[in-house]
Amino acid sequence: MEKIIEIVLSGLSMGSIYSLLALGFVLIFKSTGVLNFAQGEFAMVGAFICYTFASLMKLPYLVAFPIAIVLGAVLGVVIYALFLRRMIGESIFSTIMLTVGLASILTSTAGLIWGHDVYLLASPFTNKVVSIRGIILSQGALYTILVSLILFIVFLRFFNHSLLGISMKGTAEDTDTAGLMGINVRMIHMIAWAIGGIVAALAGMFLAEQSFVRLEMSHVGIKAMAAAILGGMDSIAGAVLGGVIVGIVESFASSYLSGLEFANFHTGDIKEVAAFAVMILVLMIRPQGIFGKEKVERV
Amino acid sequence: MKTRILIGGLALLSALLFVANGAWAGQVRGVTDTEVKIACLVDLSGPGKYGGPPIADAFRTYVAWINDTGGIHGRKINLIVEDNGILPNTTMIAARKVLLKDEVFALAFNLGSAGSSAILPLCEQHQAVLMPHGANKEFFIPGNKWVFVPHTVQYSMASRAVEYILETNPKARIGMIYQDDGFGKEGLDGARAAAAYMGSQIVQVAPYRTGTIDFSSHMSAMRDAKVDWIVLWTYLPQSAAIIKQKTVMNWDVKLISNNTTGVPPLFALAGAEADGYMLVTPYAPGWMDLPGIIRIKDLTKKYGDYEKTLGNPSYPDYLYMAGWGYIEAFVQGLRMAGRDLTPESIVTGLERVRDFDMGGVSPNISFSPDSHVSSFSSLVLRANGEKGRFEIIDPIKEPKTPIQ
Repeated sequence: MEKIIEIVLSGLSMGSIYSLLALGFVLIFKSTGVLNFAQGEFAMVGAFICYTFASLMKLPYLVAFPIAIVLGAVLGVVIYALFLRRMIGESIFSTIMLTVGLASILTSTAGLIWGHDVYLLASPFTNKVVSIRGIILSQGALYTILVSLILFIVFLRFFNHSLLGISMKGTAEDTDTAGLMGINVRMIHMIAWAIGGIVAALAGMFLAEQSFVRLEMSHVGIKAMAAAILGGMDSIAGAVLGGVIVGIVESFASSYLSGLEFANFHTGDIKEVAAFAVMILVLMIRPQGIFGKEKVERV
Repeated sequence: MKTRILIGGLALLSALLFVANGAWAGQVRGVTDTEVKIACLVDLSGPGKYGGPPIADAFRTYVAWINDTGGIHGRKINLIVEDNGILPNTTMIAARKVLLKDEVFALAFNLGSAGSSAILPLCEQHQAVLMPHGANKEFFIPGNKWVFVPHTVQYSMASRAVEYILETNPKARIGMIYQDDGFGKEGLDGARAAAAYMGSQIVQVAPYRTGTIDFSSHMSAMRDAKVDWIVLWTYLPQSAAIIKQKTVMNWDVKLISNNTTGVPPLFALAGAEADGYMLVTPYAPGWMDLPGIIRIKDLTKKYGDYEKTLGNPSYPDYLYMAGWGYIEAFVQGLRMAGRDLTPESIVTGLERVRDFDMGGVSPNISFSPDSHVSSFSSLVLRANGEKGRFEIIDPIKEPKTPIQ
């Protein structure tokens, strides 16, 4: 039983990171219709910014952390203002290719600025553990889960109860009507990109805390996209649930399915495949994702 | 009249082609009276870009020294360093460029075993010697006329790791975490073969895909199997992540890995927690006052950028040593080949290199017509977390396990 709980907690920890990134995908997609393939790169840049302030400039982690969040938001806004604002209403393929290009540019630029090595982002939780009745969990993982949980509650309340949140939801539903009702649609789009940058920076810092800061950490974005699609691209709760499912499935697959051998057949590392296998299975049953709304086309 | 002109023209063209063909037949690609052109293919932009620059640094320094002292048999070395991106497709592009456009004589280094496999037919077709780094046993079983490996192969290093464990603790329960590719599987094969040879077994294995950073479930699987040693066929970030996970689990399991992780940045990533981490490598730590290391440092001070390379405490010195070993081996082959340099004579020259003294940096270099792998031997190093460096705990030794 202890093992199962440890696997679940480990999955929840990674799942929280996927959920945060998936949240960014959903928010930007819902608000602007752009599928941001550079979300993983946003996370990587956020982690590098925190590393710069905490490790290179020797600021306390608790100071570097909010600075990285603010700069994550600034990155989102700048990307929107420079590139995406002009793409509103363009075909989804054009915007996808634009974000794919941005992902590549962000990685190359980060490589030029910070180099291609692996760096340690030391936090107050590094190498510290919590032991509860024989179940051992790193403080960093626990911190990731708790902060993510608080953030999800805050975001849900923001979108359901605040005027700005409701305006964002309204804009996502129907941009034209929202504009006619006096909502500043461009401002809403910019805020969506800023929030996308914030959650990505958070995910990047949590990921770096659990492992290290490096360019390749941006690859986590593709799994977060699987989580977002799994949960439903138009559902915030779906993004959160999708991330958690992907994290836990990965954790179980890694513990029980990886490295199995049958005669000369070797399963290898199933963990990386598991997330996509689950996504495909769910989409075969519910093409719109778990919480996604089915689109009805009236003719 | 027109017919005569046409026939005359064709005859002249044929004669010119005959002469030109004769001239080409007399030339060797990449070799002139004053120069021999060689290539060093390293990763400067792909997943292995961490390893590329130190190897290129070593090649450039060594070549600068050789050229300054008159070259080999009156020929200076023209070194082409090319980015191979480490992947098979990008390595193929780089190999085509250096062989067909730059027209190099040989490939004195190629980083990446999969890329080396991909370009081997091209090297065979163009009769170019290939010296692959990260060589797998496919390169020496059954062996290839054009392939020379001055570096101990991964299979042998993994066998050496397991033999070391079982020699120090015959009842050890051994697990293995390995990268799910040719590099990792080569290590797994070597570890399993050694365990079987020593009457034991690898009780638990856990593969991971390239880029994996979360090892919690891999380590849980190891702990469930009650292993007391884990052999890691991983790269630096993964080893550091596993050390971190071991600390988080508060588990005193022993870790032993391969040469790729024996670099100073491990201490920057894992800190004092790296203490006790072991690895098997053909290269002695760069801080030691061994004759070969002193020589390399002296030459680097004169011909290279010492402060940036071996004088920098965080520099991955083992990669520099590895690059040095390769170019040193190739240049000995050039010496043995003599003034009449051809693809055949460099092969014969390399096969005549015997017990070239590396001054303790790595096993001495020896090739023969029967063996194009210089050595199967390696050292065992242990991390000293306090001093932030690796120390030799078991000298250069060849594993007893036969290569299958």
